[in-house]
Amino acid sequence: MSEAKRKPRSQPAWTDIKAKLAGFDRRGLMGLIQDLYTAHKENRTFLHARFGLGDDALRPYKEALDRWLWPDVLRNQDTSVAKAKQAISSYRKAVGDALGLAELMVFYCERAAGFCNDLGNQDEGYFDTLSSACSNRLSRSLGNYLRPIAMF
Amino acid sequence: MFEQALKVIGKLPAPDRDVLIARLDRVRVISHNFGYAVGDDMDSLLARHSGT
Repeated sequence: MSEAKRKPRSQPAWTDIKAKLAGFDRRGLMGLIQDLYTAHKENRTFLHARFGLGDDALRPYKEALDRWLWPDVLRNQDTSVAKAKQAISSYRKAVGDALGLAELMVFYCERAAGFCNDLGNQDEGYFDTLSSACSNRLSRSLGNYLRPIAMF
Repeated sequence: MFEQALKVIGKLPAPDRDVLIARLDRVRVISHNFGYAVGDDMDSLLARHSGT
């Protein structure tokens, strides 16, 4: 195939990174990991969980579940089943032990069911405090929400 | 997620398993308030996976 007809790859892949890393010494690798560590909170969470640092490796993942499954609707926060599942997926990649995963999955069910139950127990005054946009979004969220509690 | 949790819990040793199953049982009870047969589904799933 001629150079002109070769289709350029749109996205770099792990193999490209691996080839670059082959030229790094230990110091270079440490510097790269440090840069990644400081660049994003998710990277710090990943590394802390992977190496078992801190008193509770599950805490940041539980905080994410709490945020996305039991939002503060009075602050206009929304639910997101996808983002909650992403937190569990991130833990699976960082550590992936069965006990930690089970704890997060049970916590997911507790928070989702707790949120639905909490709303169900509110009196009308509570819903009157929500804007109509917020109420509409909430009822849409709950519709999308109840089935994934039971089924994956 | 309830079913996924039961599958992972099934791989754990008995003491851990029992504690987590008890927590899911409380979720199951609460979920009967929601309609959409969510609680009924959980009844079946818990019976199937925990052997009760």
